[in-house]
Amino acid sequence: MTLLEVRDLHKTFGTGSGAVPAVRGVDVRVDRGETVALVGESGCGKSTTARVVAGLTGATAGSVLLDGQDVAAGALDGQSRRRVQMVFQHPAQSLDPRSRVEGAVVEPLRLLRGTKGREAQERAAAALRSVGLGPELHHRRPGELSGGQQQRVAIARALVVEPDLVILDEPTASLDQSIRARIVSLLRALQDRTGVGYLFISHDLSVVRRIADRVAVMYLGRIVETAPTEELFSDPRHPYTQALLAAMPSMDPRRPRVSATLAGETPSPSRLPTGCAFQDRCPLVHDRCRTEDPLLSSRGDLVEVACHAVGPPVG
Amino acid sequence: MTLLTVERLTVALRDDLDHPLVRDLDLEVAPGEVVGLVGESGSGKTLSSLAIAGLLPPEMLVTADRLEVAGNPRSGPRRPGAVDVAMIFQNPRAALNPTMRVGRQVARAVRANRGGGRQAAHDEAVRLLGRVGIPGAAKVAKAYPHQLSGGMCQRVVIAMALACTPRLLIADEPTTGLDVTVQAQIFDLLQELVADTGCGVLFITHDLAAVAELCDRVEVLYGGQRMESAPKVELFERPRHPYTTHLLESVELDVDPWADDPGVDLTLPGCRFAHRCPAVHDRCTAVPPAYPVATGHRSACFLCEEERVDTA
Amino acid sequence: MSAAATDGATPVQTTETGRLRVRLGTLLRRPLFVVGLTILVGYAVVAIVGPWLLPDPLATGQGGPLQAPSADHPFGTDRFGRDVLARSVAAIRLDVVLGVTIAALAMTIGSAIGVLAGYWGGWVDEAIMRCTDVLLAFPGFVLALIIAAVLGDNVRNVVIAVAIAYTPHFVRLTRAQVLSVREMEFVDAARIGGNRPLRVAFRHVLPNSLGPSMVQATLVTGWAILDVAGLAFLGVGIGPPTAEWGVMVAEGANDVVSGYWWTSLFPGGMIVLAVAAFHLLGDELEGELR
Repeated sequence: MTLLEVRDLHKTFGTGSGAVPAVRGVDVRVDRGETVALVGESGCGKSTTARVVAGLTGATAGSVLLDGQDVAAGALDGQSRRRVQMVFQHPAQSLDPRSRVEGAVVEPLRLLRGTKGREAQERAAAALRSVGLGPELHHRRPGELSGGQQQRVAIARALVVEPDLVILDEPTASLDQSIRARIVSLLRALQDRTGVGYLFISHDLSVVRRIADRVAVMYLGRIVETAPTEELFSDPRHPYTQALLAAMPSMDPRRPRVSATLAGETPSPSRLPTGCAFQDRCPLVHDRCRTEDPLLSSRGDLVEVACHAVGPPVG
Repeated sequence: MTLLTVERLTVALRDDLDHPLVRDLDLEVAPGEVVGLVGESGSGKTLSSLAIAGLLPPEMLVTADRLEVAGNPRSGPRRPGAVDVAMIFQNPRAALNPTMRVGRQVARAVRANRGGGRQAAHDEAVRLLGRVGIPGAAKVAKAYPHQLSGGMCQRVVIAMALACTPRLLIADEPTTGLDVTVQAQIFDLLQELVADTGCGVLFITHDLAAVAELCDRVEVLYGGQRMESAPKVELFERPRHPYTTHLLESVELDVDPWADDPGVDLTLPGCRFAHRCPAVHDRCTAVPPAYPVATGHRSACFLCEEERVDTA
Repeated sequence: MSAAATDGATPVQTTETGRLRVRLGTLLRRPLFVVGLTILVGYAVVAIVGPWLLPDPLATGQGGPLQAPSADHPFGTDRFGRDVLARSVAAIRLDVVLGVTIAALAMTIGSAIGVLAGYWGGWVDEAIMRCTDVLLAFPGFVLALIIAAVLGDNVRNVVIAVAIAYTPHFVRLTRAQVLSVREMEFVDAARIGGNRPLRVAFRHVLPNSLGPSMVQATLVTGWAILDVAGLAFLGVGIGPPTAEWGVMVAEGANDVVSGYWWTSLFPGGMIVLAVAAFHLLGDELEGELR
C-alpha cells in the first residue's frame, strides 16, 4: 500500500546563472511500514529531498503524494502535517534548548492533534517510555541529556502524534558508533510496533544495511540505482554504488585494504556537465555518457539503474 | 626505538585533582606504525593526545613518568624547530584561517619550522600541497578555505602538518564528517606518508571499522584508562577485556534498544568500567595492571591475571 | 562551546543559541560583578530605608541654605535649605526605576521587531533595517531630546523618547542572533510540530535569541539613567522641585561657581556610581556568556 510517492521531483536554489539544481528528477516510493533509504554523499540532494517531502521547503517541480494527495507546493497543512514527522541529524540542536523534555513531546500533540492537559501528558509519558526514557527525565532540559537521550526524545516527539511516515535525516551521524546500533534497534522495534514508514536519509551504508528494506543511491541530484537492500550490497550495478561500497570500511580486520577507487571529488552541482553527471569519475565512461544523461531503468528484480554501461538483465 | 613512549600519563583539572580525566595511561607508537586510539566520547582519547602534543590549557595539570617523542622528553616549553609531533583535527575548516590563502598558511608553517625565505617557503608549500594529492596545487595555493571542499581542507591541514617533518602524526577523528569516498582517499594518503617517511601515526577515533581498515595496533580507552592494547587482528578476533567485547558487540545491531548508557564515573577508585561491567567483582575497586595475555597484547582486567603470559 | 560527536552518556552543554545560561554562583566569583551588585543593592537598601531616617527631601529651611556637609547634613544643604542627602536618596528610586523601565521597554519592543526582521527577511527586514539606520544616525541623547520636544515636556514622554532612542540597538542585536538561530534544527522541528510561523518566531526563536540583549539591557539601564538626568538638567521632562539627580545638578550649577561644591557634586556622583554599577554588571554578564 503506497504511502508516499515522490514523482519527478526538482528543487533548484537561486535563479539565473547562480542557480543550484540540488534535486533533478527524483522518484521515490515508500509503502506503509516500509523503510526506504536515500543514500549518497554530500551534495547529492538527499537532505533537500527529505526537506521537500517534510514540507519544510517547496518543490520547484514535480509532485509529492501522500496517500494520493499532493503536498509539494508548499508547507503541509495541519491535516497532512500530522502524518509526516521528522527526526534530525543533530540531536542537541533539534530540541529547543529552553523547553523541557515533557514540553517538547507535548507540543506537537497539542498543536497537531488538539490533545490537551492530562491526556496530553500521559500520551507524552507513554511515548517517552516507548523510547526508553523514564519520568525522571521529564523535567530536564536538552542540555542536561546525553546525545543518545536527546535523540530518543526527538524520536518520541516524532512518534507521539502517530504519523504514517517519519523522515529521518542522518539520525545517527552525530552519535558515537556504539550508540548508533541502539538507536537503529530502537527505530526498528518502534516500526514493528506501530507500522510507521521510514524515509531514512544517510551516508552511512553500514547503518542503512540494518534498517532499510530498499535503498536508493543518489548522486548530484539524481537517483543512480535502487534495489532491495541485500541485493544492493551483494550485487551493486552502478559504478558509483560499487565505489561507495568499496570505500566503506568493514569491521573485518583481515580484509586487505582496497585503495580508493574513486579519484577527485564530487563536482559542484552548479556546474554540471552535459550527459551523465558521473562521467568525470566513472571507470566505465564512454562517448554516449558525455552526451546523453542515462535514465533510471529496470534491470529486473526490483532493481533500477541509471547507467549506459550496465546492460539489461541477461535471459 | 619507539617514536612515542608514554608512561603513566595523568591529566586532571587543577580544580579537581582527585578525579583525573586521564589516569596512568601507557602508550607506545613505533616508527612506521599506525596505532588506533579507540574509545567513546569521554574516554579521554582526545585529552591524552592534546597532552602529548602539549596543547592543553594551564587549567589542566599533565603529569607522566615518561613522555618522550623519538627519545626527546616533551616536558617544559616547546622549543621552536624541535617539533616532532604534528596534529590534525576533526574539523579541517576550523583549523584553517578563513582570511588567509591556503598556500600562505602552509608556507607559514614551513617557515616557522624550517626557516628560510619567502619564495623558498612558497615553493615548498606548493610541493607539499601536491604531495598530499591536491591536483593543480599551484592554483589551489591561491584559494581561500571556504572555496575548498572539506576533503581538500583536510589535505591542506595535512600539508601543514608535514611542514614540520613530524616523527609522530596525531590524527584526531580526521575523517569524521567527510564523505566515505573522500575518507578512503585520506586513508590512502596517510598510509603513503607512513610508508614514505617512516613516521608514526596515532589515529584517534570511535569508529571501529576505520580502525580495522587503517591501524596496525589498537589501544582501547574508557574513562581515561587504557583497557586493552593489542595488534588489530588479535583485538577483533580475541578481545580479552569486557569493555572491548562490549564495544565490539555494541556495533552490531541486536542490542537492547531500551537500555540507556550510564556515563563515565570519574569517582570510581579502581577500574573505571566497573559500574558497567558484567564481570565486576570485589577486586575491581583497585586499578588492574595491564596483564600481558599474548605477544603485544595486554589487558587491564583482573580476569586476565590467571592467563597472563610471560612474553610482554 | 558547541556539541561535537556525542556519546550516549556524557551530558552535552550547549550555548549555541546565546541563551543566558548563567548561574548566580559563577557570577559571584567575579569581583567586578560583586562590586556592581553591591553598589546597586546598597542603593536599593538606602532607597527603601532612607525615607524613615532622613528629612523630607522637599522641606526647605533645614538649618539654613548652602550649609557645607556636616554631621547634621552629611551632604550639606542646597540653596533652598533642603537636605542634599535626603534629596539624593529620594532620587534613587525615581532615576533607577525610570532607567529600568526604559531599558525594559526598549528591549521588549526592540527584540520583537528584531525577530520579525530576522525571521521573515525579505522586504520586511529591509524596511525595518532602514528605519533603525535612520534612528541610529542620531546620537541617542539628541534623538531623545528631539522626540521629547515633539511629544511634550513630561516624564512619560521622556521615558518614551529615551526608549525609542535605544530600541534600534535591541532590534539589531536580536536580529543578528535570530539570523543564526533560525537555521537551527529545532526551528524546523517546531514547524513540523505544527507551529505556525508567528508562533515559531515568538515561542521558539525569540527566547533563544535574547542572550546578547540581556547584557545590553543592563548597559542601557545605566545609559538611560544618564539620559533622564541629562534631559532633566536641560529642563526637559522632570523639573524642580522634584528630587532628581539631573535637576539637582542643574540647580546646584550656579552655586558651584560660588564655591558651593556639594550641591552638584553629590548628585552627580550618585549618577556616576549608578551608571558604573550597571556597566560592571553588564560587562561581567557578557564575560560569562562568552
